[in-house]
Amino acid sequence: MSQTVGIVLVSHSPGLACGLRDLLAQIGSGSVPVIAAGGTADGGIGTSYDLVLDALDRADRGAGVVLLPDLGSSVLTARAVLADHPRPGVVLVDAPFVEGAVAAAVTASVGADLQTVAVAAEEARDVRKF
Amino acid sequence: MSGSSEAAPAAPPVPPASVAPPAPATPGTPAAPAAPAAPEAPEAPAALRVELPAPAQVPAVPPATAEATVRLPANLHARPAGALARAAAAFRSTVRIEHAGRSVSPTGILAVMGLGATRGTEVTVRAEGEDAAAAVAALALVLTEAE
Repeated sequence: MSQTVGIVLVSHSPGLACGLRDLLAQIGSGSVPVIAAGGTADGGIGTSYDLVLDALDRADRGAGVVLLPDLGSSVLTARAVLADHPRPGVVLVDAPFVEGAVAAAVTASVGADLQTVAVAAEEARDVRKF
Repeated sequence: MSGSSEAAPAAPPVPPASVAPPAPATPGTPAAPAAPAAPEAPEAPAALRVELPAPAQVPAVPPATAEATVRLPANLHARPAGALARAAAAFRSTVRIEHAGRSVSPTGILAVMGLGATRGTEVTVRAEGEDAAAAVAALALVLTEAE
């Protein structure tokens, strides 16, 4: 209960993942472990199996992790990591990258459990921007 | 509080089994010293009586409601919407945020941002539940301090 669900942001772009992480911090998710796993290991555009695996370890504080890919091979890489390293406490969510991350971070910041955080992220798909 | 004040039923007098042992089912006088208003006592004993009275049901304690309207000092953008969501999570009451004819839950930060409430416009916080007043006070404060 005292642990907070973690969030891993998987993106093709290091800047996109880190920028989103910074945005989440501004919204007040300071208590939530948010780890950016963007780009390739050398900082290029692409996805990195190792970065995702490492991010999962760092985001997991005992309450589970929501794994949020931006699109395309981010999903494939995330799936490959989970296939090789099955973890009961990790949920790969199908959600809009920015909105899903914001909803997940706010929900996690109030102490919600893994399932609730994952649902909050996926529900972001149905919320109109304006 | 007043949940158990529907003591209207004619509970006291009729202990049929114990009072009527002598005569099995004599219509006449079923030993009714303390049962003045019980005409058909013999035929319809205990079970039926329970269903009779129900005219004045006391409703469950009405839920507390509260509301407050705030004129926004700043746009209701991501940061205050996040603060609103976190504040709302601390209460048990059902809370709604209303703006320009739309109503959303404050726990949904995306929906709150989607209201598009801008500086100088009014937002109403409405709550219903045991801690409604505290919830409205807390959320109105968040809105008041938005920047």
